[in-house]
Parts: sequence; structure tokens; C-alpha cells
Amino acid sequence: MAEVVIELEGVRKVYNSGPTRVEALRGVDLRVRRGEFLMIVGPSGSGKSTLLHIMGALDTPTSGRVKVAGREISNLSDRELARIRNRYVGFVFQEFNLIETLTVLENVMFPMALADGEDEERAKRLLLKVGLSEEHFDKFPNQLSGGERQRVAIARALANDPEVILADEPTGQLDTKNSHRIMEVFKSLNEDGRTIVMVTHDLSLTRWADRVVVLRDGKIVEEGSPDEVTL
Amino acid sequence: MITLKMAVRNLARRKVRSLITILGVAIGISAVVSISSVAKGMQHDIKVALGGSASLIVKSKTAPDPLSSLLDQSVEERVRRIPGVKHTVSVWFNNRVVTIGGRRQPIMIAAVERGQYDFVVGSRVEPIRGKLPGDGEAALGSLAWNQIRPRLGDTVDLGGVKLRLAGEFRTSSQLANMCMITTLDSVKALRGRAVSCVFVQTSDPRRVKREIERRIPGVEAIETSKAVQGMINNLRTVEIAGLALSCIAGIVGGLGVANTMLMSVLERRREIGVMKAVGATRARVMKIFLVESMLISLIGGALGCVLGVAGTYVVVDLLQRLEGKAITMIVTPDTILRGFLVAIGIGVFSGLYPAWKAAKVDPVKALRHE
Repeated sequence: MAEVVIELEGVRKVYNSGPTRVEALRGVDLRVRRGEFLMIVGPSGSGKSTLLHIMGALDTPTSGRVKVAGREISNLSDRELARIRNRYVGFVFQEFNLIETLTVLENVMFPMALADGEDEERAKRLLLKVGLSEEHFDKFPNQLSGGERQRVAIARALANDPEVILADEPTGQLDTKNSHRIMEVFKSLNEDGRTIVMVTHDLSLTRWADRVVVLRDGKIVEEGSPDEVTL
Repeated sequence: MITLKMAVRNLARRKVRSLITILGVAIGISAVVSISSVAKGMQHDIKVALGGSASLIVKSKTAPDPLSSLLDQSVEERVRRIPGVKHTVSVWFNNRVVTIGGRRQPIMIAAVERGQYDFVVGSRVEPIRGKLPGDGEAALGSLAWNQIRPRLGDTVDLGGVKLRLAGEFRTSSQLANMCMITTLDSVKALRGRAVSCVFVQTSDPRRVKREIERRIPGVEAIETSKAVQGMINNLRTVEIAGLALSCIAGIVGGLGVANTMLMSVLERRREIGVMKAVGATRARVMKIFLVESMLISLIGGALGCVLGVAGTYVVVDLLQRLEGKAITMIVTPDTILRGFLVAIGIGVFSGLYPAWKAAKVDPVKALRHE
């Protein structure tokens, strides 16, 4: 059995928005194993993104236990949480979320600059690996297509060689052709041994995963291989 | 390096806003630099007016100041005999209307014994046209020269004594630059045995002062350092008031920086969320925004230093040309340093609150809501 890299036990998350109280997660238990491609699916508002943010130490649960990199995140300082986000996990978002004032190459080097220092050669290798040619390196994000931007975001997520890639609807802004290409990039990374956790509401993507978790109203309602899960 | 690039590009992205903010800082800094350099110039003029390199000035006890004092020239010899006196120079000051090249002009004449002009002025008296005057000759300070516009070799008629105009000189004191200088012997026919005062150099001014006043009746020895310090202290009060006013300009500039940075934080909430998502700590986010406010302030500081020096120079020059007013302006490295320190202060203090706001941004909300 592969080692568990992220572990959630009885995780609840409650948001208070004025008088409204929203329970985004209602007792989630989940283990992510090294090297697996896990896909979390569910309708809008089912708590997928919240779950992903908690798994990446970007958010903390209202109650329950979350262990990332073998450490319980509830009691970690800002510095320690930032270190986990910088080195242990890499986020990829639906809206790409590149820094507009940095070039493609600099966007990839940014997480490196927050860690041990900028490594331009490594950043270039990562960009080539996700399928971006050198001519794009000095371009700014607004000069790229959606598919190209998402490739940069994936390269940025890989900047500090993280254990886990956490992708939140990474194909949500892309057409079918580009979605397929981006999924191929994720699959290739997974085949290289990288753990991938992807959140999506696009059920056609589940075939790329090893395991699928179905979330509804903040609870896991089904779990299994893509063939086992009845969607 | 990336942080600095981000700061530069963010400023470049909002050019007009950045430029207005930078100008706001620059105005405050230029006021600081301008007031400091004029105050330094005034301090320098006071030092020159009160004795140049001399440590004591011996004048008549009844005269209010050395310029209106009259002493017998034998006083210098008596002063020189006092133990501890290293050097003495007699000077005769006279304010009179002279005729130069046929043109009548009121001017202050400083007749200096044996042509020891540097000692009396306290800084180098540099000939920029012709030469410094010997016996039977006179030279005009650069400001007086520009006002009169004579020719070398013109006759200078002092009303009874005629001298040849030997040159034009320049010193660091604008006060001296408005004078005419000559040797003491050149004006013997005008002054008879009188001099205005004696400039004395000694390593023990307090004791020598007591000795001079004890041995020579009717004279008073002024300790130049004390007199200079007294006047400089008065001037410093004025300088502090001026700097306080320029600080208000600086605060206004700082508020501009704070406003610009707050707007930047609001506009870049999503970017801050991304920074945190890829591993930026709160301290790092603060640093990124502080670098930007420091950059605005330092550019404003540099521009303010240039504007302060250039603007004051232009105003001083115009006042001299149009009004004949002599204002000395001295720009030293510490004047510029003071300008930059104020700029750094503006950058840090005005950037602190926006940077703290940025550091507090909740990444989840920032990434979700835009």
C-alpha cells in the first residue's frame, strides 16, 4: 500500500457570511496516496474547492484533522503553512491565476524565489516539459492563449518539485481540444510518479483518474475506480 | 530580483498614477533639499562675515560690529606681541560709491593687509578673470562684476584714490562675491592710520581674548566661533521651522503614496491570493508591497533632490540678476542624504499600512471572489 501523503479525518468547514451560515464540508474522511491520480467530482457548491484548499493548507478546517506532509496543519504557523504550499503542494487553478506583471519564465521562477532562489534553467526545463516552446518564455500572460496559460500554471506548480499537484477545475476555461492536451500533461506527470488531486464538475474527465470521489452537499457520497463509481 | 521587477512593472502599468505620486514625494523632498542648502549657505556666509579662518576679531569696543569699527593700525602690532597669537591680519572695510569705467556704483570695499584674502574670507578666493589685486589694484567679486560689467584694466576711482581693476574673483561666499577687494596699502590715502578690525588666529581664543582686552584699552575681541555659533543657532531655529514646513509637504507626499498603495492592494487582491497560494508568507507579501512604496519614494526622492538643487539654483540666480540679492547656496552630500532619508522614511511609513492590509488578505476569499 502506497504511503498516505494527505489525510483528512472528520473535516468540517463552516463559513459565516453575515447572518447566513454555510456548511461547506460536513465530516469528510479522505486519504490521498503517493502517486495516485485522484479526482473529486460533484456539482457546483458541493464543497470541492473548499476541500482542495484545505488539502493544500491554503485554508484550515473548522473542525476535524488534516495531515499534510505528515503534519497536522491546524496548529501550524503562517510560515509553516506557507512552506507546505511552496514546497509540498502545487496549485493549478481554473482561471490560471498567473501574475500579469511577470513573464512566463518569471511566473515559474516566482515560487522558487520564495524558496531557495531562482533557478532559470530549471524553470525553462519545466516549461519545455509542459509543452511550451522557448519563444513563449519572455511573453507576458496576456500574450498567451488559455491553453498556454494553463501550461505555465502547471509549470509553476512544479517549480519546487512538490509531492502533490492540486488542480481546481484546470480545464474549466478551455475548449475540448485544449482540455484534452492539458489532461495529457497531468497524466504524464502522474506517470512520472507525481500525485495528482483534481477537482472538476466535468464527469467526462474521470476516465483519466485512478480513483474518483463524489462529493455532494459537503459529504463524500461515493468513492472508487472510474468504472466502479455510478455518476 | 523578481520582487523588484514586479514593483517596477506595476508602477509602469499605471503610469499617470505613479507619476503623480512620485511628484508628490518629489515636492516634499525638493523643499527639504532647498531649505537645507540655502540654510547651509547662510551659515557659511555668517562664518565668513564673522571672521573667516580667524578665531578672534579685534574691534573697537564702541562699534556695534567689525564693519563699522575703527582702530589705529598700531593695534595689530600690539596684538601680535601677545603670547599665543599665531597670526594677525588687519582689514579695512568701507562702504562707498566708487566709479568704475565711468560708472558710479555703491560697493563694499575690503582692504586686506598683504593681500591675505583667503584668510579673511575663510575659503579660497579664486581669480576667474585677471588676477588677485596687489598694491594699486582692485578686484571685483563675481556678483559685483556681473552687475557693473567693467573691463579689465578699467580705473576704479574711490574718490581720491585711483586703482587699476586687475581681476574678477569668486569665493564660496556670495557675500564676498558682492565686494571689491584690494590691499591695505592701496587705500592708505583714504584711511590714514585707521583699520576696521584685526583678524587673529590663535589656538587659545578665550585666554588671548582676555589678554587683548586687558592690555589694549578700548578694544573688544570677539570669539568668532561663539559669535558664529550664536548666529547659526538663531538661523537653525529658522531652518527647523522651514524643515517642519517641508515635512508637511513630505507628509502630503506620503499620504499620496499610502493612497496609491492602498488602491494597488485593492486592485491586486487576486494576485496576493496567488502569491500566498504558491507559498508567500505574510511577511513576504508585506515586503513585496513595501518594496513598491520604497521604489516610489526613492524615485520621488531622487527627483526631489534634482528639483531642489536645480530649482533653488534658478531662484538664487534670478534673485541675483533681477534684484541684486546675494544668496549663498551650498549643496553637500549630507544635504542629499537628508533628502533621501526623508524619502526612505516616507516610503516605509506610508507603505506600512497598505503592506499590512495586503499581508492580511485571505487567499481563499481573494481567489474565489474576483
